[in-house]
Amino acid sequence: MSATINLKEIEQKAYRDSQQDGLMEIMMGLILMAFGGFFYSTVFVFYILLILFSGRIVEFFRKRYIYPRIGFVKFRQENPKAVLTGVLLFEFAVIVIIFTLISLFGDVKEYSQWVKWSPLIYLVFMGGFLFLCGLVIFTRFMSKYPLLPEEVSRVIK
Amino acid sequence: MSSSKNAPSEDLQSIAGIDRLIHEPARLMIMAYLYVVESADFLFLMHQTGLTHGNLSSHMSKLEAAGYIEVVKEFVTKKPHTMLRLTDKGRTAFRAYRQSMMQVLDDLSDK
Repeated sequence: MSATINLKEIEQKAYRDSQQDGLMEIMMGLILMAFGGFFYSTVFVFYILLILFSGRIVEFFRKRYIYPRIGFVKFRQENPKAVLTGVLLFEFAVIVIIFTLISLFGDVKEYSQWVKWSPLIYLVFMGGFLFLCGLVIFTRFMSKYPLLPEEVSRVIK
Repeated sequence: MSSSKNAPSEDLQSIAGIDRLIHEPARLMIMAYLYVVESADFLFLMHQTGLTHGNLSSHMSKLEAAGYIEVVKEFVTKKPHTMLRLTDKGRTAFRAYRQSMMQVLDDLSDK
């Protein structure tokens, strides 16, 4: 046992545990897949709606299925810098992958190549992969934390 | 001379200043978790600390009686739901406890 109590580690563990349901990964996957479809269709309403309501949708499912299993925790303040860094790093990784694939299989200067490859990368590799990961995590979560008898009818509003 | 020999070392006086209410391991866990979050419900703390329902409930009452935590009980779809939050007094007490412990461990150092 460590002689010191690291409060940062406790906070990180609490955060990890509160995010272990996979719902965020499922939502991110759906958004990326919708973004992929955005390139092929002029109907972008679905994509916009998904982004606008993604937080509420995740929260709705958490209230119904997650909080009755592992409880609810509210964190003091999210670090906007860390979130922004994460998003930027993710976008950078996507751009690097797209650039590498275009370099390998096409002409980098050709705009149509970007239009051709971007949706595929987003749709199949990123979105699909994230969505499937989320589903697996969610399934494992549900079997790991069965609903306690006294929590069966509980839904936090 | 003899009285000064029997008296505890001035350095170790800090041990007497340790908050016994927080010093109990289960309550220390509860305080530590509530210190890093804004609020948490009973079920979340039960999972995180590994305490049983009765244990957590008992320690929660003691911390609430001391004014260290605030307990909000409500009914959600006819089921009781308990939210816990560290009060300002509790936050200050926890910081003071950390300081005391660091001081004590520093005093006990064999270096």
